[in-house]
Amino acid sequence: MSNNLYDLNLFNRLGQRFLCPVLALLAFTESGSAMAEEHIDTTVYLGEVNVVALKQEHAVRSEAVSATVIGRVDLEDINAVSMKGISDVVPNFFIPDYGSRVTSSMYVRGIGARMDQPAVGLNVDNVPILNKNGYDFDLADIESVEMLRGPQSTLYGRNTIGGLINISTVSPMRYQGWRLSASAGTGNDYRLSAGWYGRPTEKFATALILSGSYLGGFFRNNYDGRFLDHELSGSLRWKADWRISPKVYLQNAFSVSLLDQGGYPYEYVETGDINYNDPCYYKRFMLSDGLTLRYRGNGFSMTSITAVQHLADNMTLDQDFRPEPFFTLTQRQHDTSVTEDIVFRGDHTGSRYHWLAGAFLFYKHLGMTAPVTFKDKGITDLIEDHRNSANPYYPIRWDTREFPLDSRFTIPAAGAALYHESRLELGRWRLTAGIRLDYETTTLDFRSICHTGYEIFRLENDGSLLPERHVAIDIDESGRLRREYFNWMPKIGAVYSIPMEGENNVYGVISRGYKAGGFNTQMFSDVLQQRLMGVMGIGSKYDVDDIVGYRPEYSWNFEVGSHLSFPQAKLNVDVSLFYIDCNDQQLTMFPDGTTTGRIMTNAGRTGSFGGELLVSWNPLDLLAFTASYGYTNVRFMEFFNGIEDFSGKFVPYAPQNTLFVQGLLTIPLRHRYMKGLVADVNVRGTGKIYWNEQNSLAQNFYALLGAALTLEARHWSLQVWGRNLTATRYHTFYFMSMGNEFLQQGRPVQGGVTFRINI
Amino acid sequence: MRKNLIVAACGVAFAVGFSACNKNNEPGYSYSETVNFGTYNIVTAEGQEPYVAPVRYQYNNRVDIVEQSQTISMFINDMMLNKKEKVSIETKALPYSSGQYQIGDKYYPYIYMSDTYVADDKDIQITDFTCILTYAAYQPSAEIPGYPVSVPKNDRYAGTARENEYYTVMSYKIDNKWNVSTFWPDVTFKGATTTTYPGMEEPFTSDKIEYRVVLDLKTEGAPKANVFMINAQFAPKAPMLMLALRNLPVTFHADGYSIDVENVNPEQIEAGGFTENKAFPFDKFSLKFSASSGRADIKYQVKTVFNGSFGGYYFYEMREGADKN
Repeated sequence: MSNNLYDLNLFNRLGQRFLCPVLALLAFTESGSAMAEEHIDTTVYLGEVNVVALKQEHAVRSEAVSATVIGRVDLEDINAVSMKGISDVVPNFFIPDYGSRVTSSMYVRGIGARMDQPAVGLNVDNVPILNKNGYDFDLADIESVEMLRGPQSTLYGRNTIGGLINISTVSPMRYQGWRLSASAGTGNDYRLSAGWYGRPTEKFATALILSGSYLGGFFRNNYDGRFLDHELSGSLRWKADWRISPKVYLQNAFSVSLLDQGGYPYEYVETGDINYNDPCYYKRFMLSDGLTLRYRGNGFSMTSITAVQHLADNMTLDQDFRPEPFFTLTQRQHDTSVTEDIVFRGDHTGSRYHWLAGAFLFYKHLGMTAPVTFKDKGITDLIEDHRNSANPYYPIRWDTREFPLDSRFTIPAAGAALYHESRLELGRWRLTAGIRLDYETTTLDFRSICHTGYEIFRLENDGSLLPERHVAIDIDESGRLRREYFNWMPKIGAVYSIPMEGENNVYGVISRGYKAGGFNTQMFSDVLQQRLMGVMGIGSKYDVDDIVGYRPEYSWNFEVGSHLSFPQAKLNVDVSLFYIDCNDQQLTMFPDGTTTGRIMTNAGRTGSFGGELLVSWNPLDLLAFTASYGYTNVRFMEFFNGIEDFSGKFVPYAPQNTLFVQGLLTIPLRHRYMKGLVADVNVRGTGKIYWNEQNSLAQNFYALLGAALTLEARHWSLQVWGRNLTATRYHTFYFMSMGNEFLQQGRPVQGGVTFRINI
Repeated sequence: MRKNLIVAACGVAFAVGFSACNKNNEPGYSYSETVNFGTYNIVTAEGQEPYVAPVRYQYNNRVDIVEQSQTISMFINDMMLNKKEKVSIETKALPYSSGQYQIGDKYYPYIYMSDTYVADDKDIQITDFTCILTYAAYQPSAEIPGYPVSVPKNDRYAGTARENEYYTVMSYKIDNKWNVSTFWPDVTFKGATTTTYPGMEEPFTSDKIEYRVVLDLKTEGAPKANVFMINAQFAPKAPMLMLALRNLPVTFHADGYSIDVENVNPEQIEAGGFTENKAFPFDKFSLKFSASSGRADIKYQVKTVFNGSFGGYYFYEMREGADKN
């Protein structure tokens, strides 16, 4: 058994860090054959197999792409325990921490999504995660996180218009033994993880990882004094790798997880107070299984990835976020999807021409219920008062002080795609061209139900009220909508290898991105509410047909960049400039009036330009610096919402700058058991972020200081860490509900201890 | 809503009633078909009270492949001019233009023809003739309890695609003495309503307010009009209401009808019924409808301070130069 990879040898670690970010691909090597390219710190091949990033030909620094790879040690250094922990580390990549784990909003170069379809794709061991609600999970057992920026639609299809995240988990083929970790931090933040990796035979290896976490919380609800953002979660992952023969390789990755979380610590802007009376929570069950089969034939290889995923969740909200009983929402989803991706690659040994072709199929079935329950004050203020002000001589009184507006949906979706990519090497040039043809169909079956009633009274001259008549409201309406999309997504790129020591190149790429359209299910309760008001003789404010669906989003991405290495100086520099022309960019907006839902609408056109810089430098053997900076200027070029023209305004929720600077100092210890001390100081910065289309509200640029001190031994490490050490106050989210404004604050100072054992 | 003015290549663009194109491509072949559509007449003459009655006009559509022409002649037998007199008339074959409006995923055809002198060689003169046959009439966006929408319909074809008929927007003169115009007694007007009110920065304009006018011509006594204001709103922050002004006296004249009332409390259309609403009294309400153009002009004053005015049509107006909705 080989544990070399996870032997905490300091000098090996730093040497490999110098080589980052490098990610090897196609590590389908056999004993005695040429070794694959060296990975970052955790993945050095020694004739083993690694099914990682199978659609890329070379290490990402050799490709026409802006990419950042964060290895296991990097994740441990910055104490990133979930996807939100890597926000800002990657330039122009931002995941705001707000709400709950259901709000996995990701922004890349100004392109992002807060609801429904994601703008950034996520693969775990090459299995695509289709439901954005499952994007935010803990990063235990992760070997690397690779972030590709810019549209990856040609090879990865739908909903990768902003980019793609490839997560690789630790392979039991390459590591055997135990990996244990325990962590305790402020906010009663406790985490435990235990993983066993075994290789009973030369050809078969398996791993079982169990992890759990508990968070007491940082934000209290002033209504009852309880912590809002508490959390309890657990997960089980089982992985099996089987090298059936030199030509056939099988890998199965199974995971199941449970989450029970509070969340939604939204403060009312007028008072600065978090104060609401009804419960808010998010519960989630996720299960997935991905089977990867690789076959090496004569002159080609074939990889098939078959995956099944199921997500069931319950998001319950005090939708007004105020201490008075207005209304609540309970949204339950059951989402099951099946995907199949088959990739063929030519055997490129000795050839200038390389090709890749594949087919992708998916079926997704989403069942959702989303009843909004009107409560006493909601009935009084939003219904009775509204109606009685229009006709005070015949006032009404509702039969009950609580009733539901029920909405039910079934949304099946299916799609198929064919894709191809060709590469030609001409001397120092490598030219790439690819195309994807994508078809997708989706249907929305909806049913809106409301059974309630009220009494109309007649106001007499003496001020008394006499019953006039009783009104029964029985709404039970169904409908079906269908959408069909056919898209083509081309890409062309060129890389020129600069004749100098190290991996150096310049590149250019033009690609088309696509994000699926969908249905505004969140607005149906508002539509039903308006329907109810219409029954009462108060007209509707908007047309269902105008708001029920939103169109796909398309973009053209133009990018030039360079990957430079200066081995003598131990310096790596990656730089890129981009321009994105986006049509029908999908935006989350709040309709006017006394509504609570969010509507996804399409802005006419947006334009985004900017640049990214990544530097990693080892001036001394024991000292390393990493810096990444991203700038994005994304504005509406054409956007008139029927009332106001926002042309020229900044697109909200997308940060203009991201910054990450890290210094690592290693102090060797001449001790029998202690190997060294590693000091890490880092700064993350984000902003300016505009909160609305008018650009009248914004979060200015802010920086968060983090630090960690790690005592490392041969088989264990003890880390003391801190985040936001300067207690910076900042906001991560803004929204409106019923005309009220709310913000969520970022987490305060945090600190803790993490103990890790690898044996 | 998209307007596609598609001119039929070889015949009329009727969706129902007329069938297009010839059945035989042999040279010299012509095609002819006769249909009839129901409507209501207003017949006026000097010294005569307006006479209102339902009628069915007949239309003969002829397509001549050789002549490359398409014409329609209109005729009607024993049309009542008043309670005693009647007349049979027939126009000459008139060239016409036709097209379709696309609204959503459906197409609504129309036909338009006009001429100064259209009588055939009989003794009766028919002049100042204009005729629009259209399917593209507005429908109300809300149901009114007890008032199901009535559309021109031929019960003979009940349940089939030919059941619904064109709306007839026609006017002409007979012998320079009788003015005849047609109308439908259940129409919905859409357009822009502008309301002024005290303290306003600028007048409030809304194109969501609809005016449905349902005439009661069957009940004994003078005809009555029921006016329903859907999405009525008098100021930007005022509630949107469903209001009804029912049983209003209506006056017919040569080219349509008018409604003029004062001091009326509307009813709020609520939950399948009507509830009096004294909070929005109408000090004045006037409506003037032109049958030959299909346009209504409405003015009203509410609560002595809100003054609204509206001008709009009950169908998608497609004549060149005319206002389009």
